[in-house]
Amino acid sequence: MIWLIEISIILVTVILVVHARTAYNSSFVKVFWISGMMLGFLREVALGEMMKIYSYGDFHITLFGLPLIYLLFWTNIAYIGLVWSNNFLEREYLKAKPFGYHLPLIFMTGVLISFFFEALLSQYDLIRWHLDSSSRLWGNTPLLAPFAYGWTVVLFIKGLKILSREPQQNWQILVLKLSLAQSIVVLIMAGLLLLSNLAIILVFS
Amino acid sequence: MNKLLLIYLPYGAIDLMLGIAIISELVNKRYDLLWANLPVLIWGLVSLNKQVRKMYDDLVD
Repeated sequence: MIWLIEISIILVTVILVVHARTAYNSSFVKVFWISGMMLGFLREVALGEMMKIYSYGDFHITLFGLPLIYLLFWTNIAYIGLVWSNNFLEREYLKAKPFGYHLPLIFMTGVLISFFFEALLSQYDLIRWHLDSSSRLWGNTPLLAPFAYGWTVVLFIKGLKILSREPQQNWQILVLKLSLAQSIVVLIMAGLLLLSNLAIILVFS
Repeated sequence: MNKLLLIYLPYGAIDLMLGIAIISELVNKRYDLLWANLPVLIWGLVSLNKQVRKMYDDLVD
């Protein structure tokens, strides 16, 4: 079953890339997925290896010691959040006004995806949370997990919007700028996670 | 590519994962986790419905 989960994430990536190539263009695909993989790598190193918030189970496909699916997964759910909110609001977020309902909807998409995905992973002990919090969704999955998904996708999409504002940019330059910005994205996300965890502790203690 | 299929692709990607999650929960008899699939399924249907309606309205116009 673990094989099936890993292969299906790769298949989902292919499906989304096909959609993005048709709905946007091939430059968008390269910008989105290359910088998204950078986000995935830095995020897992920061939260998993440095902060030790969680550790991994027996994944089969790994890259630099990290499960490959986590390098793809965050980009995939960010893209799904972007497209679903665009379709619901009938407006393209990357061309819309700075303040709108897109970001709350993208955050909500991340949170809702976390429910079923964490439930799936928890059955095979693929992710082991090490948080000292009594507030849990089920088993060992803390209440913080949905926030981790929500903040990750919102910050990635917001970063893409800010850096792609300048017109007529070369896609290689944008990939470089966005990839370099992912370290700041991960830093802000870690800060927001600590604040979210503090709020959860205060509310449920 | 068929326009309806193109619209469905980002929803189908999640449906694929949801299918695996539901089968896994049924096989492992983890019925307590089945509710976790429902919120994203409903949100996906709401968003897809709006896009299909828009496509239909554009066709009628």
